[in-house]
Amino acid sequence: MELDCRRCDEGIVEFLYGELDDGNAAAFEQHLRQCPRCAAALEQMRQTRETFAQLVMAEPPALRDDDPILEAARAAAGTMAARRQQAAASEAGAGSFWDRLLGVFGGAALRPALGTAVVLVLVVGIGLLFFADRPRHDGPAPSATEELTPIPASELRTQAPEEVAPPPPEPPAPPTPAPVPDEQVVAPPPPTPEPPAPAKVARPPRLSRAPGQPRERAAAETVAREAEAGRAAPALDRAGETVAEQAPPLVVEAQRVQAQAPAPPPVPSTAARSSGGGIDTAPTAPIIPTPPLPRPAAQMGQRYSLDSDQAATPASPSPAGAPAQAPARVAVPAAQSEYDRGMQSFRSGNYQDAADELDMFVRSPSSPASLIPSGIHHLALSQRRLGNLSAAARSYDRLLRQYPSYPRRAQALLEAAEVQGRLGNRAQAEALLRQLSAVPGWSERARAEMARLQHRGIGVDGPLGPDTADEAADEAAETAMPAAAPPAEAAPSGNAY
Amino acid sequence: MRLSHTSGREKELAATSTARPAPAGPSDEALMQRFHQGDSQAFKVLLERHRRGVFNFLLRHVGDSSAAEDLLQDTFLRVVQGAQRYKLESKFTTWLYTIARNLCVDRARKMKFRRHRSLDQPVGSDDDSSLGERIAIEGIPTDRQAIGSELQVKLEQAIATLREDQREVFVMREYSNLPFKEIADIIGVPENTVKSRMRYALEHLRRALAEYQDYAKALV
Repeated sequence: MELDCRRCDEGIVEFLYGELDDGNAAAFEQHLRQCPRCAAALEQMRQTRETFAQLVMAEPPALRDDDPILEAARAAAGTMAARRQQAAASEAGAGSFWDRLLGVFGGAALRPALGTAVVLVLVVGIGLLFFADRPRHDGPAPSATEELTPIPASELRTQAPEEVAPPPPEPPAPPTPAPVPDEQVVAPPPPTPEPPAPAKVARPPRLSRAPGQPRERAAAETVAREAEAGRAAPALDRAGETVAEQAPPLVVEAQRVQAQAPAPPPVPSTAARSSGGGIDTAPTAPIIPTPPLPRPAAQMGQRYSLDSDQAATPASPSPAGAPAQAPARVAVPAAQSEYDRGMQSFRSGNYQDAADELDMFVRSPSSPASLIPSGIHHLALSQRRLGNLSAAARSYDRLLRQYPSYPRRAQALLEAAEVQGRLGNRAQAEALLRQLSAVPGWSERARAEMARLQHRGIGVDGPLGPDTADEAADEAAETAMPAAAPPAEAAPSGNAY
Repeated sequence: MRLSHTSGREKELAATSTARPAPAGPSDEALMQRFHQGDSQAFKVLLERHRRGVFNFLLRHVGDSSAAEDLLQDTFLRVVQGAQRYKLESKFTTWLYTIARNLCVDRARKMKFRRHRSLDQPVGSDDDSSLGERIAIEGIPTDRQAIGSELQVKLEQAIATLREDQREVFVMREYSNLPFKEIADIIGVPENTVKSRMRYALEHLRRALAEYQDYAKALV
């Protein structure tokens, strides 16, 4: 491969740091033998590196055994080990119901603040269970199993008709969890509150509680998990300040939609969304991340009929006890399944998978139009949280230009402005914030973000300006938004990207 | 032949790092997996392995050693808090330095003044030395202070005069030994942008230190 000076100049840094593969490195060497100019440039860089390699690194404070970081690590290691043991025991079905119950609360009981409450709950629960009218089994009692592990709808359908009850309605979505900045891996969202047990399956009466005691075991478990997950973690962060404040209105909206939504039939909930209109008001609105169910993702995938062939063949006949109007299991389009998978990944914090799946979804010509705006928005959020700000900026740009009626447009404007600010595109950030200030109820947020932007010096106000005009041009080419935005379509097809 | 020798020297120089030698023993991801399984000692190994590099990265971002110490602790506390959600297939150093960098950005915004404050400014009435001198002097072994303190100061000052986006790329590549692709993932810009910034940084540093090249060679 022949190299010219321009290509050599482009790759000289890679060559200097040994990041070229052998083939390209050989081509570089050959060019450098023949080009004194490029050889001299390389030599200058090499000498600069050698000079700065002499810089003595500053030493951080000595690490002590009682360092708070090590203390926190020990505590976290213990918690993770306990959780793994608990998860392994639950999946293997090992041990009696009592073993698992004690294992669940074993970790929580370590905390003095919850120890008394947990012990009292156990005592009361043991006492009440003696009076519970329920069959004894060698294995775990089904009602107890339900409370600990909700039975997916697919498994309910495999039971005998007289034992089958309509699948529990989807639980109310919890409030939006703490914001997730780019790097933060926040505490897992609180577990889904106990779904109402199927009517035909006996369950023990609710536990009586002493004043001040948690209402349910799940509540105590929830509190324990939240405490363990570090809800007291310090530090605001940029993403948090842009997202967290929006949690309440979105929660209210989602819960209102949830309440108004009809009881879902015993089919994958994605079927309901496929018939949605132009506004994304799905019961499980992507706004509120639903806590992951304790089943592996593969089983969740089966429930949602990711495989069109699988979806076309019902796994079992419709239960006799199901509502008469419940439709048969329908095939879910592959594109919509990508949306579901992408949203599931997003809720699980797996932003790389979410970005990949949602990117495929928004590019697919068969994607439901009603879901594309939400898909683009969550793609942008995933890209932002991965640190891929340029891609996030493009996604936000597409969303805002092609879907002016998107219900969460204001939120998207705020997020897009933050991304532009971090990219150093102050003018574009300010333009987005001016749009936001025109939205009723958002002017204050827009002003606050504008003030933050003005005090921010990210990549815009350096101690020196560009050293050369070429440098400025290179930087502008790499980070600026396209000068000519793609033409806006009257009816976005969702395909162009 | 010189160019082959140069290529070999490039590889040698690339393989060595003043702050982050190739880790001996299990990989960072393997250590995180062991930490997941409850081995707190694995985390301690990770901490000892990366503290210095992250500290120097933070120090050259915020320009203040006490602030860098605080951010160092915050960074690793966030690693601990987020360990359970860390995806083992992801590069640990990418995650770690993304945390550190975001903490720097957050801090700068809250401080409400330019992060690239000149390191030539005196830090206090009772201390005539500049921040650049302080950073240079604090970490230098005593036996070298008399010999190379001036050079150390000049090197630190030269780095401090870099544009912020160039400085962070230079520090991460040169002292934390992170490859360009990983730096691009951390910063959130294309890899070509990272390489461009690195090239401009090297050119700027060369000009800034032109008068000290021979002096530095004499010390080697």
